[in-house]
Amino acid sequence: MRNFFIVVFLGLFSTLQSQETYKVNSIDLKLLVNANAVVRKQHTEIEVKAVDDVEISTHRVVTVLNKSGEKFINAYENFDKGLIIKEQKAVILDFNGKEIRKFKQRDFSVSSNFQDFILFSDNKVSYLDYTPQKYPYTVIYTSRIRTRNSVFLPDWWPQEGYKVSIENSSYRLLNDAQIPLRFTERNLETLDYSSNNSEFDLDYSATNIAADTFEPLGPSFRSKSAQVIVALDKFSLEGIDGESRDWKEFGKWQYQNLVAGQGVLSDVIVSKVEELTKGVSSKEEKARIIYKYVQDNTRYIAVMLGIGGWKPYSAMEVDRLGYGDCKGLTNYTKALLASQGIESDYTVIYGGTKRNIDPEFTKMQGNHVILSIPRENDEDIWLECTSQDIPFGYLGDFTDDRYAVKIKPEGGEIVRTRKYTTGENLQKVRVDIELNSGGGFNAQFQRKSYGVPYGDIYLLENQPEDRRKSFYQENWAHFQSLNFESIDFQNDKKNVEFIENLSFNADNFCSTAGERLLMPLNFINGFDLKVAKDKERKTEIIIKRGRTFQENFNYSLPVGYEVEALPESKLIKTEFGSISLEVSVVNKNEIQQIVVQRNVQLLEGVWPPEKFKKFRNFISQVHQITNQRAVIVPVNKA
Amino acid sequence: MSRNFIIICLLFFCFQHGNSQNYKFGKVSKKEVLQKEHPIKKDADAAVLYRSQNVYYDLDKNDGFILITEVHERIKIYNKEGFEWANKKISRYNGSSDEEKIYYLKGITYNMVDGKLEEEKLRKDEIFEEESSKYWRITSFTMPAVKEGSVIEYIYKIRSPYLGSIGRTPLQYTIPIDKLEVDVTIPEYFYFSKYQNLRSSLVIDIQEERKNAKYNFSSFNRETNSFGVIVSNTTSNNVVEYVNLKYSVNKENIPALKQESYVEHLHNYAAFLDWELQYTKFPNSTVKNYSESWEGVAKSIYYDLGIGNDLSRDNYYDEELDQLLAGISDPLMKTNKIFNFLKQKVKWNGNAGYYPDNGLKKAFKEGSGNIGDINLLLISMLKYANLNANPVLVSTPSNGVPLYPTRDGFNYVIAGLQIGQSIYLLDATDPFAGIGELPKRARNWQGRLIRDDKTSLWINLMPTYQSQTAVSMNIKITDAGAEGIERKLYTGLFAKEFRGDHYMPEPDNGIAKRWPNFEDLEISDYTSENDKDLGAELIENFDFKIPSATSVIGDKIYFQPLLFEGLQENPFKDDERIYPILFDFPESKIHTVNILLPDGYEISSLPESIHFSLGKDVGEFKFIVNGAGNTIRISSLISLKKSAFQAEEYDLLKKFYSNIIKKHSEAIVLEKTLEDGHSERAESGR
Repeated sequence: MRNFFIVVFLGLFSTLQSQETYKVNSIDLKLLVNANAVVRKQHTEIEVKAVDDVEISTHRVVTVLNKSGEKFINAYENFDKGLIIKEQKAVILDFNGKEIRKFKQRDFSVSSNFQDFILFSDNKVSYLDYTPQKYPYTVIYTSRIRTRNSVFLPDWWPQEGYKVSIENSSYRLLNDAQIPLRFTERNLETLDYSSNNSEFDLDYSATNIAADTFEPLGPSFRSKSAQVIVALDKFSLEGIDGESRDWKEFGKWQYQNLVAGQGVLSDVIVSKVEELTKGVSSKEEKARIIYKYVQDNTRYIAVMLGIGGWKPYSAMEVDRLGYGDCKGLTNYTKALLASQGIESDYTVIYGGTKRNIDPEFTKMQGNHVILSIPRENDEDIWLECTSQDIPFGYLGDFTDDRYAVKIKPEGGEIVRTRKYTTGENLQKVRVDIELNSGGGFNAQFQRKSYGVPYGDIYLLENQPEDRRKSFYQENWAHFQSLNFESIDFQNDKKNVEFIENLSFNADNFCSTAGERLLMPLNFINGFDLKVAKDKERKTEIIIKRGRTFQENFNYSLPVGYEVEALPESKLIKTEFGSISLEVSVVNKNEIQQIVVQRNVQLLEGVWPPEKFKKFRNFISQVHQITNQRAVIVPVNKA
Repeated sequence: MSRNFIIICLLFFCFQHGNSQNYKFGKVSKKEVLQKEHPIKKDADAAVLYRSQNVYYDLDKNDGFILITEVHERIKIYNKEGFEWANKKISRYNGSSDEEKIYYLKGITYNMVDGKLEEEKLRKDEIFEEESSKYWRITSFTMPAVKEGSVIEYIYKIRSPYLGSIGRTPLQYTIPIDKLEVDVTIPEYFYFSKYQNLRSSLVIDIQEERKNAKYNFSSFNRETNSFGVIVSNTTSNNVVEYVNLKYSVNKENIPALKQESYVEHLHNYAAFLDWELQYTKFPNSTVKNYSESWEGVAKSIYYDLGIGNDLSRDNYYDEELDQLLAGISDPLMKTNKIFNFLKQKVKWNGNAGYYPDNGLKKAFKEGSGNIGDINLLLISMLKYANLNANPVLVSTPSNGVPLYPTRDGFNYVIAGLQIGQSIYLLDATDPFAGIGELPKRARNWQGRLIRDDKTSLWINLMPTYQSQTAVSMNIKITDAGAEGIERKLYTGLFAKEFRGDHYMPEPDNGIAKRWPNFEDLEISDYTSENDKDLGAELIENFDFKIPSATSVIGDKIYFQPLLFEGLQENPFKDDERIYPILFDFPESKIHTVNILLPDGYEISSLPESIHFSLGKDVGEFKFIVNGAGNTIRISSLISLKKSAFQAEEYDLLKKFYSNIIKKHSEAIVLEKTLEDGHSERAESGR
C-alpha cells in the first residue's frame, strides 16, 4: 500500500503548492543566467518490487523560459509490451503559478516511436502536446510506469543538460525485493548534494545547480556531469532473468541468452561458403571472402519487436531474408565465419560520436554491434556488418578508438577498437592549375584520402554523375561556374585509399584589380576547423582525431603574365600542430609557375582551458597563412 | 482481307512473343532478373518494370458499392542505392465510423542463384501495421532476399467504404516506369472529374470506354405474422444493370522524374491524375452534389465551417473585443488591434488544415489551435467588428496547387480583408507577420477568396512588392585593415524574416555570428530599431573593424569594396535546369559605400561601373564606382522584380549572379603617393 499513499500525497502536494511555490519570480536570479528552462523539481522514485517488476514514478516541475527550453519539459513515456503506463498527468501554470490548463492521461497524445532508419518497432510514446500562449510558463508532470525490464534502471543525472538550471533534483530507489545492487557516483563533488543510502535503498538529492553552457571541442556532457549509475545484481529482460556483478558475468549472460543458438546455418549455405573459400589457406583471406559475400547478399533493415531489440535474428532467418539489423547481420557473419573454422566475437559498442562502453561499471549499454576477429600477435580485425560498401576491416569515425564489450561464451571482455592516428588520417592533394587572363582556370586535380577522411568520401563512388557534380559544387562554392570535364574515382578497398581524379574549369578564381590579378594561394581548403572566441573557456580542449594535409598546388600563369608580389614561405610549429607553407616561382617554357606546398597537421590531444587562446591563435594563423594571395600582372605593365 | 492486315497481325504477334514479357503476378522472367542496367536510363538505381493500378466499384448486397483499388508493381533493383525501393509503405484512412482495409497482400523476390531463378515469398509476420496518426494507418514491409539485380513484385488490394476517395493516381516516379497500366472503372451513378498535373510535361492519353455491367443477387425474405411466427420464406433473384465508364492509361517508357538541387516538393512536378467526385445520381433519387463549381465549394465550405452571417455564436469573445475596440473607428486600426490580440491569445499548434480542429470557441479558451481554428477565429472577429473579412483557401507548397474547384485540394486558410478597393491578407498563425505579410508556407501561387454571398475569386498570394535591404557603410581604410560604421535597413518580408530568425533572446540579435567566414571581424556599438514592431522598417546600426579586409603587398593596398557585405556565392551552380526557379519574394538589395583613403595613398585602380539588365520588369544589377581625391563612392543595386522564373531563364539568372559576384569581389588598388604627392598612373573611376 505504500505506493498508493505516495501517489496520493504527491497529487495533493502539487495542487496545494502550485499556487504559491511555482511563481516564476520566486526563482533565484542565479539560476536564470544562461538558462532556457529551470527544473523546479525533479523526483524519480524507483520501486523494485521483484526482479521483473519495477515501478517508476516521476514528479517533475519545469519552468520554461523560452522556446528552446521546451525540450526540458520531458513530459512523455515510451511504452511497449514490457512497459505499461499506469498514470500520466500534467498541469500548466502561468507566470504567477496559477493553473491554466490540466491534462489527464487521456489528453496525452500517442504515436509510434522509432526513427526513419527502422522499418518497424512496437515502441510507442505517450506525450504531452501543449502549445504555450506565452513564456515563461510552468509544467507540472506526474507519471507512474511499470516495467518488467529491471535491467534498465534509471540512473540519476541531476544536471540534465546545457542551458537548464535545477532548483531541486532527487532520486530514490526503494528495493522492496532486497536485490543486491551496485552503484557508482561520478562528478558529484561539483554539486550541493546529500545522500542517505542504505544496504538496499538509495536516496540522493541536490539543489540549486546553475545552468552550464556548451563549449565546442570540449569534453562530452556525459563524461563531465554529475551522475549516479545504478544496476541490480539480479535483473530481468523481456522475461529472461539474469545475475551478474561484472562484465565477465554479464557478458556470459548475454551470450547464453541472446547470442548462443542463433548461429545455426543450413547445409546449403555452409557448402556455398565452403566452395567460395576453397583453396584459400589464410584465415584473413577467407574472412575477406566471407565478408564480401555478406555485403553482396544482405542489406540493413531494422525491425524491433520485444526481445528483438536486444537479441539478433537467427543466422538462418537472415540468410533467408537477406536483411537484418546490426545484431542480425553481425551474428550472421559470425556464423558464416564459424562454419569455416574462424572464431569471431559479437561486440557491443556505441556507434557515432566517441562514447565508451563503461569499462568500470557493468550495465546494459551500447547502441550498435560489430564483429571482431582475434588474431595471434596482431590487432583484431574489426568488421562493420551493416554496410555493403565499407572495406574489410575498416571502422572509420563511427566506431573507432573507444571501449566496447565482446560477448564471448566464457563471458564479457572489455576491448578498445582500432584508432586512426594523426598520420593515418591523411589527405594528399596535387593540382595543376592553368590560369587564364580572365581570372579563371583549368585544373587537373588529384586527391588521395586515407584513414578517417577515407570514410568521409568513399561513398561518393556510388553516386551518379550529377550528384557527384553537385557534391563538388556545394563543397567548393568559392569556384564560380564550376564545370567538369571528367570525374574519375579509384577506390582501393584493400589498402583503404580513395583517389579522386578530376578535371575541371571555373571562372573568376582570381579577383581582378585593374589589370592585376589577385591569385589565392589556396586552391581548395581541406582544413576547415574554425574556432570562435571564448574569453572564459571553462573546459579542456579536446581534439579527438588528428589530421594531416599535404597539399601541392602548381599554378601556371596566363601567357604574358608574371609575378608581381608573392607571400613568403612560412613554418609554424606548436603543441597543437603545425603548418608549413612553401611558395616558389619557377619558369617553364617562358611561362611562370607559382608552386605552393602546404602541409598542415592538427594533433590529437587534450589541453587545459588556459591554453584556449593559444589554440585559437594557432587555428587563426593556419587560416591567415592559407588565405594569402599573390599578385600577378601583365609583363609589359610591371 | 488484305495482305497488309495479315502482316500487321503477324508482326503484332511476333512482337508480343518476341518480347515475351508476362506481366501476370508471379511470372517474372529470367531475362528480367538477368538485366544488368536499365536499357534507357543507364544510371538508374531501380526501375518499375510494370505497374498496374486497377480501381473499380464492387457491389455487395449488404454494403452496396465498395471502392476497390488493386495495385501490382514489379520493380527491378540494379544496385545498392536502389534497395530502398524494396521497402514499401501503404497508407490507409481510418475514419471514425469506417476504415479502409487491405484485404490482400502478396510479395515475391526473384533472384538468379547458380543460373536458376529462385523465388522468396514475403511472409505474413514480415508485414507491419502502424498507427501513424488518429486517422491514418500505415502498412509497411520490406521484401526478403533483395540483392543487386533482384526483381521484386507485390500486389495488394484495398477496400474502401469512402466511395469518392479515388484520389490521386501516380503516373511517374523518380525511377523509370517501363510499362504502366491504369484502369479506373466507375459506375454511371458516380460522376468524377479528372485532372492531370499541369506542371508535368508528360503527355498522358486517357482512353474511355462504356461497358454494361450486370449484378445478380438473391435476396431472402422472411415474412412473419404479428405474433412473430414465420408464415413464409421466399427467395427472389434480382438483377441490377448499369453502365460502367472505364478510363485507361497505357503507357510505356515513362522517364524518371529528375531530382534537382533547390527544388522543393519535387512531387508537385510528377505526372499524376487526380479524381474529384462531382456528384452522384442513383436511380430513383435526386442528384447529390459534391462540388462542381466554385459556388458549390463556397457554399459547402461556408455551411461546414459555420462562418456565415447567420452564425449562431455565443458571445465568448464579445466583451474582450468591445473593450479592445472602444472608441476606434479606423478600419485598419481596428484590424491591427484584433490581429495582435488574437496572436497573443491563441497560438498555432503546428497542424495545418482549413477545417477547425478544436473548434473556434475551444481554441479561444485553451489558447491554441490549428490553422483553421485561428484564422477562422480571426475572420469571425473581424466580421464582429463590422469589417469585410472572408476566408481565402490556400494550399501549402508541399500540398501542391489545386487544379480545379475542390475542397480537398486545400489545406490552409487565411483571412482576406477588404477595405475600399484593397484586399489585405492576414495570417494570425505567424507571430512575425504584419498585416499583408504571409509566412512562406502560405505563399503558394493563388488562393480562393470565398465571400458570404457564395461568390469566389482567385487572389494572388505571391507578394508583388519588392522587399528591400539597404546597407550604407562609411569605411576608413588604414594600413592595418578597414573600419567604419554600417547602417542596415530591412523592409517588408526581409524585416519579417529577420524577426523570425532573431526572436530568441541573444545579445545584439546575434550580429557577432553572422559572418563566420570573416574570423577577425569585430563589431561594436550595436543598436537596432523597430526589431519587434511588426510591419515596420527595421534598422541596425553598428561599428566594425576588420584587419584582414585589406592586403598590403609592396606599396599597394588591395581590398574588396563591400568588405564582408559582398555576395560570396552564386546560388545557381548546376549546368542546367528543368524546373522553374522560385525565389521567396521580389527583392532589392542596395549597398551604398563611402570609402576614405589613408593618408599618403591614392587610387591606383578601381572596378569599372556596369549595368546588367534582365529586362524592364524583371530585374537589374547596377554597380557604380566613383573615385576622386581621397574618397571612393560605390553603389550596388540588385533588383529582382518578380519571384518566379522559367527554366529557360536559368542561364541568364546564373550569369546575372556571376556578374554580381565578379563585381563584388573585384579589388580596389591603392598606391603610395610619390614624394611630391602625385602618382604617374593614377586612374579615376569610370
